[in-house]
Amino acid sequence: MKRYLLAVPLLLCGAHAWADTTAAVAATNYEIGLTTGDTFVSGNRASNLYDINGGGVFPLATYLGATLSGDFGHTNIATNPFPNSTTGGSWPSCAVDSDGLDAGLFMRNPSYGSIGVGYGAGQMKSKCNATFVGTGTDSLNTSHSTASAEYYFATVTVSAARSKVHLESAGDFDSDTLSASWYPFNDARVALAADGLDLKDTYHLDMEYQPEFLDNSMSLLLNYMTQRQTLTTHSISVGFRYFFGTEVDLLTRDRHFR
Amino acid sequence: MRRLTICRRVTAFLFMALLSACSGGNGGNQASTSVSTNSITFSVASPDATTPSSQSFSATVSAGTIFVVVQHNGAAIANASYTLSGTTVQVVVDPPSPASLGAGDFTGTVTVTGFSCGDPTCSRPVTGNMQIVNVTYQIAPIVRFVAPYVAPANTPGTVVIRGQGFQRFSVTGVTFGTTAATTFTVISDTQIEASYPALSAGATGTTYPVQIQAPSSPGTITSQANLVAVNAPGYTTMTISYPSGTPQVNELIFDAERQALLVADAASGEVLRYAFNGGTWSTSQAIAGLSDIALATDGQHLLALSQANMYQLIADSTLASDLTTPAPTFGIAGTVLKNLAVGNDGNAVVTTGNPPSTSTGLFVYSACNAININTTCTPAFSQPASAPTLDNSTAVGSSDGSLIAIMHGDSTLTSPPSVFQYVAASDTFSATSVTLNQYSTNPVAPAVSVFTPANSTTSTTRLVLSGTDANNAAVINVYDGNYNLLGTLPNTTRAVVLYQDATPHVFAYTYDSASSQALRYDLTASQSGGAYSSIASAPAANPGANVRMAISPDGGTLFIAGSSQIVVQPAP
Repeated sequence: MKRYLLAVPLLLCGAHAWADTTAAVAATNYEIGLTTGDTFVSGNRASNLYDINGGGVFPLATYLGATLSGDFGHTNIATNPFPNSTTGGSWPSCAVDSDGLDAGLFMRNPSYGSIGVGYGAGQMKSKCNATFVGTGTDSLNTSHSTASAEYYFATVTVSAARSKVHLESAGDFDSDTLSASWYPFNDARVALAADGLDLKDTYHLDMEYQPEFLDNSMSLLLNYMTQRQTLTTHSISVGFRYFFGTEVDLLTRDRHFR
Repeated sequence: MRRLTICRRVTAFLFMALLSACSGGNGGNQASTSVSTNSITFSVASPDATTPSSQSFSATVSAGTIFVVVQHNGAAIANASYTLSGTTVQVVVDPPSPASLGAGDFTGTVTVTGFSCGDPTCSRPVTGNMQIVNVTYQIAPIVRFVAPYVAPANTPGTVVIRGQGFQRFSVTGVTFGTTAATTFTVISDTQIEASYPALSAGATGTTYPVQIQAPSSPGTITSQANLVAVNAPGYTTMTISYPSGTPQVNELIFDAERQALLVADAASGEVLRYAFNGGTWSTSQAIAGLSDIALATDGQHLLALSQANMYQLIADSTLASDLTTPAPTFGIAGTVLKNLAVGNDGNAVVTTGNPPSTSTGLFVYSACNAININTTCTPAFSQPASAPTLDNSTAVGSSDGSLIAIMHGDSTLTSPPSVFQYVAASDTFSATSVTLNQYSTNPVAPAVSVFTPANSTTSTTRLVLSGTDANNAAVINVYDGNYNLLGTLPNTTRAVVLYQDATPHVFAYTYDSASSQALRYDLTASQSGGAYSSIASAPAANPGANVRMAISPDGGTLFIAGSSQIVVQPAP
């Protein structure tokens, strides 16, 4: 936490430069999203995820905004070690449910970028013969804190984030994420990201498209992630988000409303 | 303005650099799992063996693992439980009982998979590597019974071998002692038909252990079956007086292995045993409500049925009680056990009665053989789904134990009910096409014969059933294996026993009260429903009332028992 606070004095040297920015959050923005995806290991589907999430971004002051979000996810885990075999009978199913709430504060000048901090708490619960290593039970509580920063170029955003996750009875888990987003046109975003530290060798490709013919009220999502460690896993997900009330292009939404 | 822009960019860069420079963390990455072994093997001697002990293995998960999933699949595993201590998973694999699986090679798989955090906030898991432990469970085949278990000396013949695993493990040979079967056919996983050559009996009979050869079987194959070759008795004509009283003969058995006669005396409630060696009588304990007796499939126990219990008696001169099983709980008051017939699978069909006309259920009694009684076997009554509810039924079985015919009915019926059958190969009951009321003014205990000539798999079946037909006439009918009416026997017949020779000719030997003779009929050809004529006869002393008959395995000697005496004479 002290490291995050060190950043504040650095920013103060440029504080006078914020005097001519527009508001951190132009107007309250609510959105809800649905996502589904599969994870593959060695060419076989290892798990399947269904996720519903929603949240809001609220203006608190000219340069200050707040976020509040929640999500619920259901992950079906493939248990058959021989998925291509026609013999051997059926395997018992396994699933994990996860849910969480997150809250955050950020300072933003839409002309330059933003910095922010967040906190969240959640729970994972297994629906089969599974045990969480830390608790020795079928459930695990988690909490996390995040510090992030973004810088805006004309059609490119670069960002960095540091997360610390606390796993119940199992210690902490740290990760750094660096990402770069590009808006080929105002209603589409392509982002590349990489994770390090405890989540190292993890790479993401995210695409979001907010078509005009849907009155800028909905965006379509496509995500690809790969982890290259002991095993190589590939995850693909698709989804959509619906925005309540704010009908603006994606570039504007990301820098003024989200 | 230019300084402002430079300052903003430097600030942003320094901030991001500061965040990126932070280090730490616990070093755990993707979940990695290892196991102490990748295979477990269970092996038992037969499906009758006790369940083997559980086996365990350990798995170790890496520090990045947040949860562990242990799953199992396959017939070789009844359950896989585990405990987690730190990063060590101790998995215990329990095999199912051998009896629940039968003979064979069974497999199963246990998987241990660790999962790690799938994103920076650990909102979802992502799989790590899965470790697979293969489980194999080998259950060797077993030979349980051979029927008939007595073979006439120096005469080729055919037997039915029952057991388990005959198809799971390819059978390449059958032997009787050291003598190879002349032919054998694997009928099913539980049945083999085998022909034996002429076997010598020595002076007092010779036991030939029945064994199968199956090279793919794991370990030695257990055999509990013995074929006993016995010499023809060669008794002269004689009458044997009972030791006391006037018995009500419900059943007569010739124990060829021990050269003895066994009589179920319902009047005294005793089993009477006459040993030809020494000419002496012995009796069992008094069995209240004794109604029937039959030799068990392996011939080593005598099943004695009373109205309330099944007794397994040692089939020697002591007739000592080895095991007693009470009757199952009946849903209708006044229901009692009535009679029994033994199949070649160790089971006995047990009928029940509730006079005068209440229909009650049929049961199967799983007897214990001489090897596993009082050890790994617990006899029990059961009621298969196919078991019908019949009116005071009566069962009779063939000497090879493959077919049991069941008649029922009473004097109040206005139309004859269906005759039922029990097929030992499939353990199922079914109705036949014959309708005949067992009640008759001239009742004769039914007889069934199923005979397979040596080196053949084609059987000849004859049933002699006495009762009242649809015309309310008392009849003694002869049927073939498809329950086609072949002909009739005279209503002066008081008892009948069937015998088939190797040609095969099927003979019925009867005691005829009108002529006081033992008669022989050739039932091989059909009489198209007409009367059979006797082809041979011999005078026979009057045995008394309630006559029962038996015949020696070689077909040469008849035994005729009634309330007055037992008549022994050469078969005509």
